[in-house]
Amino acid sequence: MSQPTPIVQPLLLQFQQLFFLSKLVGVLPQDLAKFRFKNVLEKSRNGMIYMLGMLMLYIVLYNLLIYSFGEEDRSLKATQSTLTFVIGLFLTYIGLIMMVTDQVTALFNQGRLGDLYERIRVVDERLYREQCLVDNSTIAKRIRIMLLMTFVFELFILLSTYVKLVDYTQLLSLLWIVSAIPTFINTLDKIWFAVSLYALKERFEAINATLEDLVTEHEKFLTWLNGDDHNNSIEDHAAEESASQPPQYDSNLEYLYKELGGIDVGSLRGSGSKGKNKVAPIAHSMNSFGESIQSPRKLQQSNATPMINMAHESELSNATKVEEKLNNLCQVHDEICEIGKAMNGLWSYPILSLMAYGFLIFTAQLYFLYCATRAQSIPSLFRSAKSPFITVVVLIYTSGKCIYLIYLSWKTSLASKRTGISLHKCGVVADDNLLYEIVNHLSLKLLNHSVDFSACGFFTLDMETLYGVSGGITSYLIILIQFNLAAQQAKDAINSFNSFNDTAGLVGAATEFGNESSSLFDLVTTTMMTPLN
Amino acid sequence: MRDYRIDQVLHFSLRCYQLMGMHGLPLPCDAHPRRKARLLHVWTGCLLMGFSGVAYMCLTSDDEFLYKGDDFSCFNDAMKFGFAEMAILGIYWETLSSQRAYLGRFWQLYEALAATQTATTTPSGLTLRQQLVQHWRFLAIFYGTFLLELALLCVYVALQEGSRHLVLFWITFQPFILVVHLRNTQFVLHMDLLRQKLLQLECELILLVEYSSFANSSASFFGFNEYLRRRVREMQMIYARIHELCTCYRRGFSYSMLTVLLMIYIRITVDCYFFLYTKLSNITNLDYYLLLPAVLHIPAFLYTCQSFMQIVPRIAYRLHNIATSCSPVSLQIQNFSLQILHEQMRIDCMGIVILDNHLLTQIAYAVCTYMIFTVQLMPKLNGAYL
Repeated sequence: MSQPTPIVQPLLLQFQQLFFLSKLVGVLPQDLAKFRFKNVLEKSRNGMIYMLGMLMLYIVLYNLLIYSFGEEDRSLKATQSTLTFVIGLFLTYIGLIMMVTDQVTALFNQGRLGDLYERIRVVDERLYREQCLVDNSTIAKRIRIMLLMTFVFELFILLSTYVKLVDYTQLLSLLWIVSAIPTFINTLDKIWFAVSLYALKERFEAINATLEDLVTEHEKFLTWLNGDDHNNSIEDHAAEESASQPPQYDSNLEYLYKELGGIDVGSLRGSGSKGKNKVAPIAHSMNSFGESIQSPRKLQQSNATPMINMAHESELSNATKVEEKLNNLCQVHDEICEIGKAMNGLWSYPILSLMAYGFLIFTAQLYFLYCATRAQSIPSLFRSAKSPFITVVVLIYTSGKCIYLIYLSWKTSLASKRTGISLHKCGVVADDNLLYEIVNHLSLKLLNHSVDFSACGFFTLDMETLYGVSGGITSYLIILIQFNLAAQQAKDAINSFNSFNDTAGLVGAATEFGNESSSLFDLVTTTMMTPLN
Repeated sequence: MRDYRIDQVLHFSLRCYQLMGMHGLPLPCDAHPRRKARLLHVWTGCLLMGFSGVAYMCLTSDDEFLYKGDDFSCFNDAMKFGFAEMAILGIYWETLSSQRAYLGRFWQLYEALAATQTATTTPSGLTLRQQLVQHWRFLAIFYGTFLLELALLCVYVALQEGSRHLVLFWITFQPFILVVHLRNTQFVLHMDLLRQKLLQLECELILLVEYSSFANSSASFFGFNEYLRRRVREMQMIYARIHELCTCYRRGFSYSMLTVLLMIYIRITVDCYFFLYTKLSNITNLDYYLLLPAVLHIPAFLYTCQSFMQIVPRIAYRLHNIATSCSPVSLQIQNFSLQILHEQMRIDCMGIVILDNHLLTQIAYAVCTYMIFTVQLMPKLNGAYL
């Protein structure tokens, strides 16, 4: 705001709380003082060092957490099924990997992130010049709501798990707090992305609204134009109907004209001079000619009328004037699309890691929930799965993050595509050859400039991905549960087999097998043992 | 929202939907539209509460609403109720909230389009016979599936010797099925209306193509090009309206399309599995024949959607068949063509999946895959491990 020419409020003004929080926990390295006074994101060496320090601290703490809680796992290994153990091992570090990806990407992008918001500011100025206002005030509110929800979810998951499922008599159990860090950092980073994306969507919507306004304005203008000689038009209409040959087409089109805002009624009435109607004596084509012919003269006439008493004004009636506006709007649209692509580029790896995390954790959490209900032991890091209620909250939190990003990307993409529709509405309602040429040109341009968000090109961020992912989760879950069943059956079969035969040697051999059970071995035993069972 | 006219067949069907709480708008002939709308909302709220209460009771009660024999069956029964409740929530929530605006706009636009397009016939509208012919697809699906459902239910009641579980389960679950299926026919009705509009546009375009080729080959007239241009522009406007109609439909029904399809799909998957399971273990249970209407409902809806979406490329084809050498006309045609590219008629439930026959293959494929997974699970379901 202290800039010399504050034409528009910079978007970053709304990000203040989020920036301070991100700075504190080490999500962004940019300079704090510059942001506070000038609302810009600039590179900062100190910030970088601070952030690297935080990153190191988190990694050390997290490893400590894994080590101290892994103690139980090692003692439980014998009773755990192999599958559960391997999945637990595989997913131990996924949270950490996600957090490191976020922070390292933020470090690399620290210069470019500032440019992005600068570009958005320039876009805002251009939009302002086209009398297309964007309201940023809702963004601060959105950020606040998102932060609040993050805190609520994180705290709930952390505290309820700590109180219910962690043995808090030991001092070391306080390390459990560290388990919330990766998801929290990740969520903060994603709030930046989500809110910036939302801002882009608002800009697209502002462009669309401006175009729609042009249309409604012109429609009003036309009805006003035809309004004052409405009475005449009805009389003439009646006269014409009696004169012209095929009543069906005539009445049809008349109605259409009225329905579509009475666009041509004036000209229709004017050309009611009958002689003209009877052009060609060819029977077939008479049908098509049932309605009157519009002469170009009439168009000019309708354009001339408003000059006399200007009650309504429509920009669309002046093609040369509107050309500039449409061109500018389309250029801004292109620029926003480019910004969207750049933004997607900055966050592509974090989003990929988030989606991978979401998919794996969702599946694993459900699988562990199943294991817990079967009274099997599960990896200690995933102890929240022991309580169905906490599991539900975890799942809502994780999937909510992923789905919201996907949903927002999809909506933004849709909003950018809507511009073409609005543009065509402008063209059709104005009905001017010059304008048609402009519209056609710009329409092609818009078709070539669509913005689609993707995660490193692995998959697009739209709702169709959701369909695939949910299918994947269900299939994997069924497969995992089946393997788990098979393993459990094998174990029970061995146990019952042992109780049948009291021979000491057999017991020893079987338990040994049982201890180092590999799932393949289990499957083999199941098939062998089932008849005995 | 107040001012639309509809023919008798539509009138009757919409009354049916009003009665089931799925159409929350007053019909045009209603005397007190505001009061009627409020009444409909209260009624919808009551239905929602009733269904939710039943679902809650079934899920929590100790009685045999769900099969208590083994955990896996119980889980599946609970899943059926869960998804049915989701569908019900989606349906009635839409009636209470978003439908007002979108569906109101839908019928307004529909009326406007009908006025522009069918003013050719007698002013009093179509005869009943014509109306029946016009809506035969919807009527066939609506009455066909409904009667089939009733007939199967009667046969089932007559033949099946009831256990307490079966009686309790079917008494509570059948109303859910009925509502969901009726909603599906409501989708079909709206889709079919959209399809008719688009088909009409195509017919008009064909007519225009014939005129243009005639004018081009035999004789042209003064002002013909101007006429052609204007007609193309009118069609552009009609197309834009149909697109808006389609958008209204999509927005008005987005959640319930998803939940209804999901519920029917889950039911088919689960029941197919148990059909095989009961056959394997020689339990005489006839209730799987009740699945037949559900199996018919998904293709009926998807096929209607597909036949609607398939018209758009044909319209583009017809449009470019218009023969002209006049540059304003070709400019107009270009404009229309670009407009079609921008305004895609795409029916999808919240963007998740396009509703066409491809989805049908996907569903069949998914059901088969899950069937193989779960059939493999079958011998292990002795109750000891699950």
